[in-house]
Amino acid sequence: MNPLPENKSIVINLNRAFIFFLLKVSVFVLVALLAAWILPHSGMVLTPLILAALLSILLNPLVVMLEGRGLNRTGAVTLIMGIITLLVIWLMIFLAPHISSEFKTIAETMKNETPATLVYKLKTLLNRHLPLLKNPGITDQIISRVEKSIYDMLNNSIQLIPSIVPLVISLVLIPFMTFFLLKDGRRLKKSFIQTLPNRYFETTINLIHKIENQLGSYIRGQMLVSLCIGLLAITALAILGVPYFLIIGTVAGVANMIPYFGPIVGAVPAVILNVIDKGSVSAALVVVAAFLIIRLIDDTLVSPNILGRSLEIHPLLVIIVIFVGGEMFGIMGLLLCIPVSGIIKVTVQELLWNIKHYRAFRVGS
Amino acid sequence: MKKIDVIWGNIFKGKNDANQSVRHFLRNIPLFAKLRKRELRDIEHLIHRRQYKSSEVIFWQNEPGVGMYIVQSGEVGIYADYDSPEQKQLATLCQGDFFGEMALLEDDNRSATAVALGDSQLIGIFHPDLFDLFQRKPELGIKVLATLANMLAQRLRKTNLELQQLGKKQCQSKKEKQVAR
Repeated sequence: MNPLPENKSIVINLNRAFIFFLLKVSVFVLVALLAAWILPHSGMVLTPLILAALLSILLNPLVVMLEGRGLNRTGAVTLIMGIITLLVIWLMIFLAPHISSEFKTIAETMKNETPATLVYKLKTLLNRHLPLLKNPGITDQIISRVEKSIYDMLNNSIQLIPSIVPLVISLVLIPFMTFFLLKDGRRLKKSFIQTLPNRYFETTINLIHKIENQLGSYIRGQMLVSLCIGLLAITALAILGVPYFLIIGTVAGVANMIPYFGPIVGAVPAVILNVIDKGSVSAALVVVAAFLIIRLIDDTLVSPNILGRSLEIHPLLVIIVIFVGGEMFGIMGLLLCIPVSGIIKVTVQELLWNIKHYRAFRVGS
Repeated sequence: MKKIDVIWGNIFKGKNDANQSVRHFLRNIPLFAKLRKRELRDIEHLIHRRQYKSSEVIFWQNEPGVGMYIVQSGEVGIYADYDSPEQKQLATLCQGDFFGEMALLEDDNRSATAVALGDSQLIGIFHPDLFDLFQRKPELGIKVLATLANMLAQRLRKTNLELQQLGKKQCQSKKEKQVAR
């Protein structure tokens, strides 16, 4: 092995590009650390902010339409938010008695039924209607699993109670945030663009425009699909005479935003309540069949026509995103994880397109 | 009271002065000359003001175009094959001139590269903002679009004339060559 020459010193060439590279890396690390520190505490503000952003994207075409009729931006936003507030108040006044009576009946039903009695009922039902399960081993296995699920469900619903406080805060924050995002959204966008260096300025305008377009149609489409599914579920459950069809249908519509798991979330309470009400296995089968038909209509007619194939996310990624979203932000995370991944997917897609077409984004250009 | 006015005046002075000068500048551009005061204010919300240093590229040839620029101050050079041995300067634009207007109307790539020849201040109007204006203020949108179409027609007429003259010159030189033979 040759020893190093004695007088040769190691020189680190700290040129401008290297210093800038170091600076960029440190800024990136700082931002990542800050995000990691803020994210766990940000649910209270982040969730309402995401919801408000989604709402403002949803309502923007209405504001633009009113502006086209001669109203100024503030007037148009105030009018729309006012109408929505009145609609919510009217719905609350109109639907509150129905919903409270439905909840009261559910509560009364549940008061008479403890998990033990529910399990007993199910056991006799299975033994009576499914002779295949006469073997006590199989029935007991099914029953013990169902028993565990019922207890888990009750435990989970009790754990949900503390989340009511952030829910109330969100309900106050969301309309305010939506109002200001709708009113000043354009100005905020312009201020952001103003801060960009010249080389990224035009490409960023293109990027933002494309993201806005794709995302807008995706979110409006998702909401429309949920509305269709909700209405279909309410109609089907009303025809079948399922109790509390209004609440279950609404839940089914909202839950439809969660791919794969959403339809199950909508169908399970309907099946349970119909079985309790009617006391027969066929009651469960009818509801399951209704939800399968709704799913079929959604897959073949509603979603392809409204959503198209513009924002397809790989099923594996969808499942991962749902679990991560649910784990980090609870129910809201479950509902918002897909739109948020949609935002990320469109941004990445458009960013890649920009890198390919604009030399400003290419390294070393 | 006067003191408070001075404070507020100083806080908002820069912005107001800049807005006034932009409005005044826009009024003197043929594209917006026919617009009313209120309409000019709407256009003012639409535009982006950018400052470019000498030799800074504004946009590159063959890249997707998003909008047009108006020279508020300074000079801009329009080049074909910029930064290559075949580089050719097509035009030099100064205060009040506009360029890149085709990008407002079509989704195509830029046909030339624009470079600031000195420290320049530009006003940019972009396709998404203009189409947003069509939806929000259709009357104003039509006015702007009609003037833009008029200007493009004038440029096309000028190009046609130049082509005709070029054609005539080529014919004449052919005839002269034939006579010489």
